Amino acid sequence: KAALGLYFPRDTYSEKLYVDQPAGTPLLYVQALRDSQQEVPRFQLGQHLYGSYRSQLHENLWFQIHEDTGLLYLNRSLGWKDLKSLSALNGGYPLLNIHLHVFLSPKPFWENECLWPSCAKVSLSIINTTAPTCSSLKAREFCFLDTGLSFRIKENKPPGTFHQFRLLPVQQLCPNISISYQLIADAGVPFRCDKESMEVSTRRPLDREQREKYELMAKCTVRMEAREVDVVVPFPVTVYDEDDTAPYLPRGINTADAVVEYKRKEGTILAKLTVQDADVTPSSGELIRKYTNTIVTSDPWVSESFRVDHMPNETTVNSNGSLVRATQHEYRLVLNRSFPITESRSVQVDVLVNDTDFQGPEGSLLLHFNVTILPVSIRFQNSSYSFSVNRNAHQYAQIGKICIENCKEFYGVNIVYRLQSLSSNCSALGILTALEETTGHLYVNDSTVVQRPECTEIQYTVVALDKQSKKQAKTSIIVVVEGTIMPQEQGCPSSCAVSKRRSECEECGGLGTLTGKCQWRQGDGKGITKNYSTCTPSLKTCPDGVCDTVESRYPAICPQDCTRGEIIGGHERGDRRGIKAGYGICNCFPEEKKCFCEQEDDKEALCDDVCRTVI
Amino acid sequence: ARRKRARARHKPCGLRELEVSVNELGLGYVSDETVLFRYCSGTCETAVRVYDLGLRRLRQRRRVRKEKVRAQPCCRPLAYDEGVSFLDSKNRYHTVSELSAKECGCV
Repeated sequence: KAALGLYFPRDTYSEKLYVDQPAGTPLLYVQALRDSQQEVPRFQLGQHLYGSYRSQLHENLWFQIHEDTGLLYLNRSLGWKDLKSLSALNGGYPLLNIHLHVFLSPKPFWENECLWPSCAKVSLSIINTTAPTCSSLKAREFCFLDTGLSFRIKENKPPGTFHQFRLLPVQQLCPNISISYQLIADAGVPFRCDKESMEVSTRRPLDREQREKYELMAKCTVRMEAREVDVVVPFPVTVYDEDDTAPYLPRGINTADAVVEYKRKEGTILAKLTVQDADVTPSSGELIRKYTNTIVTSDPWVSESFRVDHMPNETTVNSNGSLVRATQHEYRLVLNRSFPITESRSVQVDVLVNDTDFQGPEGSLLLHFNVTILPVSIRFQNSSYSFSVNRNAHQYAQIGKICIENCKEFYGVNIVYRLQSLSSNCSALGILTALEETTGHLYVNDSTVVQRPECTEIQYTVVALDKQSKKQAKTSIIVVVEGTIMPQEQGCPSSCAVSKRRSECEECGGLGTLTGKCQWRQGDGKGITKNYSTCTPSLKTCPDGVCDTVESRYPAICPQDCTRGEIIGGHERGDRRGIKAGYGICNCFPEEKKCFCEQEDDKEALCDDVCRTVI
Repeated sequence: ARRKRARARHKPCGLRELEVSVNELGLGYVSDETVLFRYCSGTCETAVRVYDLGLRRLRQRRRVRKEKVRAQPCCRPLAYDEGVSFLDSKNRYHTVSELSAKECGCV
């Protein structure tokens, strides 16, 4: 059982393998680091050789490992014939590397699954020649392999040896060349390189919360005859984390106040509290499972009304001049249901946060949220509203907006507006409630009534009703009818958007026009633009990129904002509906569900078939 | 040369293609990309029907005067390519559907 704590400081070891190297050639040392002082590593080789892409090649007949020292050596010479038969088993890929698995635990359960930290891969790159002569080797080849060095050391573990610099096959080949290694590092770095044995070890246990990366350099000095050559390579060491610090509260803040007033919808974030943890374990995959939070309550009302959202995030903190990663946990108290406007209550919600991986008594924290739920009343700010409407206004002309006090703040409260007519003969208006805005849109519902000479002033009572609580508020509206009836142009389309020219636009009326005439918007002419030229019932509401409640009533009012149909020509479609941007002039045929955006081209338009015949 | 032009003029209605830059299309899109534009061109003399002859006569006799009428078949696309996509100068994608003809006919 103790063997489980042992681990490899690398996940891959490499060496070169030449053809016909003699039996007994040492290849490399693997090392193991310990979890506790009593542990003794026992190295074992996997039973198979692996080729490209984890394919099992053959039973291992050539390599052996020394159980105590971790020395990997050739047990039998690997000749041309062996290589040829191994290549044939590599699934058609050229055989460039042979892989072996080295295990630490007594007997691996899954032979062909090699996972760090209890298993390391050994990658032997095959050189298709016999071993070279000493004089043909470059200085670098005496010192290091081409594959870079990098190490993983767990924090808080006893110190130990984790690397052997010596390249064993080269040393055996060229015993007369003197090679020495040295670590280049700042003073106080917890690593040392032994001159004699050429082994690198840690001096003391490491602490990731102090420093998590050591960018050392390894220097190798080769003495060949009279020459001396230095080779320097990077030697990075990464410190691996374990959950050894308890969560804490930044600046000791464990309480947050929250008020529920206008925003009462399910999902509203009421308050946030932050918990810091110097560790980066548990990793993101297990964080939610191992970093738990629970609302501590015996009151079912509290557990039904609130929930806690956990938002973990990695941050960096400065530790003695080096940046070290840490974890920041944000806990958000969220409404778990929509509250009726009559609800009034004050509660304290306690949330227990627990770092279950931390071995110690201080792994949990208590957060407090003081929640006050205020009732809101529905009332109108003004005792009466007054609007005016032109006698020539068409159906769906928008006269004004009606809103209860603080209506822009409301969220998750369903308010509906209704009209009660006080002058029954002249009731020409309608009101529609925009769902998300809690606003009432007052519009002309019957344009023939507006034209009646006896209707000079229309009076209504408007009622705002909360659907859930049935609470309501009332106010009165006076709408003054202005202007004189102007004769309507004959042959005009019902929708302003049909007109393509300024002149025909301004001559005609259409659905939604306030004064009985459409309005022309002259665009800026800058390519495909939001400010395209178009004909509209009212520049205030159309096209503003929003298909409002009244416009969505009938497609002919403002197809520029509301169309779901085809748009022909250079354009950019709105996110849900309508034309977001257009080229030149955009006009629409709402019955055909088509819009056209096109730069006006006078010459072409003037010369039709008749004119061509003349020419 | 004259005979050649005459023959070209009598080329029957069919699909032609042109490589054009997106800017040349004049749709307002600004892009350096080129697209393959297929269009319909050619004569429709062999597709004339009794309807066309009748309508021509009636027009000559001024029985049909006020409306716009077409007394000969016209070479037009019968089907269009589904969509042409390109990247504009502001790195946004646009897909223009039915830009290019796929099949032509006299209608």
